[in-house]
Amino acid sequence: MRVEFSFTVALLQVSTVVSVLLRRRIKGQGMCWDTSSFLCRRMKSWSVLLLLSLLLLSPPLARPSSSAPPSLLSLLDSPLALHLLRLLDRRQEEVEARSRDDGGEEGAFRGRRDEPPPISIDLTFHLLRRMMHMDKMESQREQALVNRRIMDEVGK
Amino acid sequence: MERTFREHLFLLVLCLSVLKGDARYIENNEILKDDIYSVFNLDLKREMPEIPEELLYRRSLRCLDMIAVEGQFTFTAERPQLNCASFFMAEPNEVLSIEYDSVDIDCRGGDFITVFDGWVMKGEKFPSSQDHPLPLFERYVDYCESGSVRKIVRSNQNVAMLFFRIHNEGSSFTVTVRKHVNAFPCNVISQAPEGSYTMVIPQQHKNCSFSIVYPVEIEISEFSLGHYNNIAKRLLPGCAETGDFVQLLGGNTIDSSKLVPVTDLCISFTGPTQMKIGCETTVVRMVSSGRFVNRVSFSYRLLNSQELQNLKLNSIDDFCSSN
Repeated sequence: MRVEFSFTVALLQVSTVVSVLLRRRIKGQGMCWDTSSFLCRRMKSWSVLLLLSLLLLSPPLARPSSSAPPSLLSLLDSPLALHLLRLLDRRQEEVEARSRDDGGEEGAFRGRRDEPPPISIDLTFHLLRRMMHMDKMESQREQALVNRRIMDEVGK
Repeated sequence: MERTFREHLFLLVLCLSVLKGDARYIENNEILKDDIYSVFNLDLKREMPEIPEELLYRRSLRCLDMIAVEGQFTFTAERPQLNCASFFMAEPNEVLSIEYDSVDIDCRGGDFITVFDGWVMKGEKFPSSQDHPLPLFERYVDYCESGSVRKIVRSNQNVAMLFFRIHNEGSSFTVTVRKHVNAFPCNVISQAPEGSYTMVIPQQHKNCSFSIVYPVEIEISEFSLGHYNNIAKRLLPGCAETGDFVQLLGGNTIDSSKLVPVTDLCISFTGPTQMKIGCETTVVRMVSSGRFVNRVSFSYRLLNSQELQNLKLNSIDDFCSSN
């Protein structure tokens, strides 16, 4: 029983150290638990689930059999552990998707805020074609004039 | 003389002659203006030199105008002009640059001059947002916001537009329009209702469209999607799954994303295939995954009124008739 208790304590200590290290990796976040940034939310969910999984997976103190404490690998193989890991992945995906949507929405909103009102002109295709045709004739005339000027320059 | 001393002497003489420059050298004469390192320069060499100032075409700009030549264009407001637009066009293998030369407008009074990268009519734009590299708000470049910093605006395709509003009589501005060669044109509006074109996308992941603002008959003479030459691969459920295909679209807008697809082509072939599309706009659009060099060659001609009428009579629904 003493062995099981010390094992549980050791697991809790490891998880605490890991969560502290994760917090310190995120520079400038300050009190991460109180902020709502994406990184803090993700780190927070990781830490909570890690603690929860370790608590649930740690050998129960009131185990009747006095068998040796299960190894870490065998703990990970248990169906409960696998389920928790899957839950963690799904939760992380949700958090990432939410942050992506927020970022996208923010980006779009920022774009909509900064975007000038879309200036446009109401012109029919018929008018557009007429303008193109008239411009083509005008540009041919002007190109002929430019060519004549170039030839005059060359001829001097 | 000892052998080693002779070798050293010969080496010394060789070094001295090299340093003196008696070896062959590349003469930099008047004909070859660039130096030898110009071969490492990736700029296009065949671009036409700029037209000299004295030969630059000049005319006044109208409130509603269409310009397809290089030159300098000046707008002077004889009265308040609140809704003006100028369309600029170039050849399919060219892009445009619009430079502000002298601008005398009252930005704080509500005047503006805005260049749009593409064409926009009735709120619909060419190229569509899917086909243009920039987001919509970056395609509008306002002089009052960025004119002092950005005096030259360059288009990504052969068309551009200028919108302006002038409240005060006597205000004016001048823009210089130049054309530049575009080695791999992507989005093009045809200047004429008849012609031929070959669209090439060289292993780039992008979508390109060739737009004809007329009802035309299109004849596709050759179409190649990299190494997709195997007929057996035709048994794909649809062209969209292949990643590389050509669409023929038709509709009544210049925005190709709002046109109706008439047909998809995703098998390489040689030999003509024809289609008449009786819509206001006909678009040949190529979707490229970037894995292959894709190419499509086609020609087009204007449908006459009789053909248009026949198409409308033969069609079941109101969609721009095609057969």
